[in-house]
Amino acid sequence: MTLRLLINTSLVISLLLCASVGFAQDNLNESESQSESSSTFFDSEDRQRFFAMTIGGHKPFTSGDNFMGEGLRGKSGIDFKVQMYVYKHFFIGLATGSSYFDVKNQELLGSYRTSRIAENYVYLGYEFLPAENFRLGLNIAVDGDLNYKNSGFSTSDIAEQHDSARLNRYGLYLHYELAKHFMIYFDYAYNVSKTNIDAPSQLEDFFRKGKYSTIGIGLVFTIGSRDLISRFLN
Amino acid sequence: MKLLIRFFLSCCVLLTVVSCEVHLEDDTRVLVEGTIIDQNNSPVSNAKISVQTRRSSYSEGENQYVLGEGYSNSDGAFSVISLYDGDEDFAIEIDGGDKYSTYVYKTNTINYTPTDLTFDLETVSLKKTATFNYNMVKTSGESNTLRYSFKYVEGFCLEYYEGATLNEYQSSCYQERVIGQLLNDNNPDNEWSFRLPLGEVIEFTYSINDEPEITELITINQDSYDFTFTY
Repeated sequence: MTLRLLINTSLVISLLLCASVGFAQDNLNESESQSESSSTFFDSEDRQRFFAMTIGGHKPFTSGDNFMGEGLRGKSGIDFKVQMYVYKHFFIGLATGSSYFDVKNQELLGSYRTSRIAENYVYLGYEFLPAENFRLGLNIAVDGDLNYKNSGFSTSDIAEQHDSARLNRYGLYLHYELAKHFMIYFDYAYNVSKTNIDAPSQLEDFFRKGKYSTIGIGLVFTIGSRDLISRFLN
Repeated sequence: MKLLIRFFLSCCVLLTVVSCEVHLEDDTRVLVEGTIIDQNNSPVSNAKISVQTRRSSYSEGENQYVLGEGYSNSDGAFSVISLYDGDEDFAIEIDGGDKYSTYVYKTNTINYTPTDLTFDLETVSLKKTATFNYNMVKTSGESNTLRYSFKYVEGFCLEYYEGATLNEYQSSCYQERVIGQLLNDNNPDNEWSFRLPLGEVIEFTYSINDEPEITELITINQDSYDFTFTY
């Protein structure tokens, strides 16, 4: 089972789970939230959530002296994530998305015009509460893979070639709460793609790693008001 | 039942469309390098190097796909990064443009992968070419005929390699070609052109009204050589 299939399956299961579990707990949480509780930079019972689902878009920017920095130009991208708060504001998440690039130098990569990277990864992180209505999250991908679909060959539109890679990703986001369970987000992520490309020895360094950053914006929907472990402890 | 059949047919059409995609070799890049010179050992710059493969698809039949492209620099040297593909006729074409001949390196990459994924063509020699423009014009009376032919060396070289070994049987380098025609009242005139290496000699043979053949030698000593023959 590929990571992509695993993540997609998990996303569907997560949605079903959060719909059933999250809503079931909501009545209880509503009454709990009426009691006074303290809120700090690191924790707030009032602002605790169980699941957060994000959907949004991003702009990728390539960088560095590598095949992505020298050969690709970022166009756009889409993101879909589900994260579950395991204990307080520690969370684990599953993400799937795509980034779209134009080839700006075919002499360095091969004779294709566009590249679409399918991104699938599992991430861990922590969410801080710097101010009322704001949430600041840091996350890191613990397992991820990338699939580059290269297409746009001069003689035909139906030809494609694929490259694969492992993903290292370091992210930062800011949520602004518009309502209790509805927010907008801005995020930044630094991505390092460790490719499986076989290349001549003099080009190995050039193709071994690709680097790109993303700046994104989107919507966040949350469900539930207690983290996973608290649900079992209390 | 009709709904079931329609659903089944839709699935078949969808599968057919999906299967039309042509997949080239994944996760691989090759390097094609070498130096291009002419017959005077001078470097040839701005020659176009293209790496090509052939693939068949259900919708488009057999197609040639360009996997990588680049140009030689002022020293005649080139280094092209390209995608790779397994093909019986994997080709690297070096096109010197209008002024030089064309060279093609072919090999079977289904069973052979070059050492360190590098095709080192070393030194490729192109020949300066000229264009021979000929014009056959009938000026005499009716019922006269002209049978003619041009024998010349073409400005094209194909080398077929099996691994690192040149297969001369499948190669054809600067081979002799013959073109000719019979002109008569129905088809009295003809105008055409072809390219050949500069300095080569064309053997022009003709016969008027089926009389004994006459052969003339034409030395191509200019880039564009115009030749007119009247009968």
